[in-house]
Amino acid sequence: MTQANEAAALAQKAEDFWANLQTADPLRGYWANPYLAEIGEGKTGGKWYLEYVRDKYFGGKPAKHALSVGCGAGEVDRAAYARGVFDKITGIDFSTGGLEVARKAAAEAGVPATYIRKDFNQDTLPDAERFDLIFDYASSHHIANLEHLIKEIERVLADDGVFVLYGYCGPARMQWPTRVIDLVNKMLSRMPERLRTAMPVLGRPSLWEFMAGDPSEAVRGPEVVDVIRSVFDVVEDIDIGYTLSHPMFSQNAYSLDPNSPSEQTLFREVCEYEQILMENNIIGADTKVMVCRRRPVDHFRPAR
Amino acid sequence: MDVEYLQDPLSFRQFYEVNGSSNLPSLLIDRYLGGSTVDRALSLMCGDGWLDRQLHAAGVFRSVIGIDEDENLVETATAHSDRSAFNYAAGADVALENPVDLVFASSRLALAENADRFVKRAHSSLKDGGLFVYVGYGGPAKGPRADEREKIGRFVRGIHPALRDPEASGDEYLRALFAGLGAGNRIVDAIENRFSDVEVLDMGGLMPYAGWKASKGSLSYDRDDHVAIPLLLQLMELQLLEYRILSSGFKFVVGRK
Repeated sequence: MTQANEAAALAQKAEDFWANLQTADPLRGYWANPYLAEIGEGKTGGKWYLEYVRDKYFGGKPAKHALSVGCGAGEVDRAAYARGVFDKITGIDFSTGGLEVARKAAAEAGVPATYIRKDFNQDTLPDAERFDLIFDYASSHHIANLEHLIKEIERVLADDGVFVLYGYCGPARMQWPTRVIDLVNKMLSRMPERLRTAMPVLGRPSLWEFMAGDPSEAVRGPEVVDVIRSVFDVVEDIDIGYTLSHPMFSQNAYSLDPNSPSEQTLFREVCEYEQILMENNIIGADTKVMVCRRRPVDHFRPAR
Repeated sequence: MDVEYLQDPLSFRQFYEVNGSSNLPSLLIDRYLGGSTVDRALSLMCGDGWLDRQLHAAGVFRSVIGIDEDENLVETATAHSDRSAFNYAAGADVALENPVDLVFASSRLALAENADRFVKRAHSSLKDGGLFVYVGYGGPAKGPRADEREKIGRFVRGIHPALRDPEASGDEYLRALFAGLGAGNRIVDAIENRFSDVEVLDMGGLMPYAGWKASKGSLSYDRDDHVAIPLLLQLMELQLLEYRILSSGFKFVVGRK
């Protein structure tokens, strides 16, 4: 197989992965745990992060036109519209299956939305009008040509607009540091067997594992932060966490009984522990919220 | 300090496992007593004698003399034990006919009016080469620092409301919980000053104690998902001690005469 054919096959695989995921089974996992949300919101004024942005950067009013980068099936878009984050939205994603769901659900919910398929590795972003709010929920780390995407986001952002990333910026291809592996495996050894059936021991996933599932997963890691910083003025850089809870529960969380106080306690304690280790610089934050503005002056930036 | 916490079979399990044992008696026998039972031991501030009975049953010693400042507790200890192996007396200055092989004390020693005198007494009661063991609170009289209480409080908050005493929250709660632990650090200092080859091991204990207290009566130890909660807290606390984010409340201190 030639290099170009191989790249096309992997892209198709990624699309199929996301299409199946978003049409067959709504996304659910450790990140949906309300306690994690509570901890995250504690860092954004006690509000959901997009409400925080609305209140702090838009005077509590909706943005006029938002762009949702990597919108998937549009769950975040619909939640944001319901909370008055924007008046209308354009959503872009690679997954045709996800976009179909997003279009249908937006119509049912009365969200003024347009959904367009884009390959972020090469396509330009919609630019009929500039967006005063662009948000990317957990998408950038899937993009190999990250520089292209971030430059495109900058190009279509209004001069006084705000770009918000909520996403993974941990190790590329989830090649966990030894310390994280040790900490997680110690905790896993104390978990009831039921909660470690899916993943009894944490190791470093192989490249072939990604190729067999989602080839785009974590293709870029901490570089997400560096590339964003190289293009935007980052006005807020908020460490959310997930550094232990993600590797520990990415698969095992599906066994967590949401109605079991004891199992939820185990999850909650891992979250508290993770935060304390982060605050003391023992581990970094694998997930961040970054609030960004266009750089007012950059002589090297091409005119748009 | 709630003595039931010290008696709970899960308390300090992680510490003992990290040190290659399952509990205090096996750690003493395997690591410090060469695998054998000593003849005579002295129990300082023995309370109602629960630890004496546990150590005797596990084969740490053949007989013990227990002393305590509290006459009522001495009476209780006497009532609960076999006089052929256990002898109890009230006061701090009970005379011993012969020196003993082992002197031990737990957290009640930190509450003694004059703990230094007890440590001096331990030294004079031991045979040369005899072992002194203190397993108890070893921190300052004021308890953990405010920043440590804040972190401990977050783990208490982590316990699901359905398993947690609704009163168990806030700094005032934790201050009250840790008040009255005694001046444990003075005991550790006294042991280090008086004995040779002193070894001090961090046991942790305060964070799991706060969790134990907050969830008291809610956890059933025949359920693995319930047992996992104190064990996870113990594991996390020992790691936080290693990173010096928390300091150890309890200490395992051994010294030789």
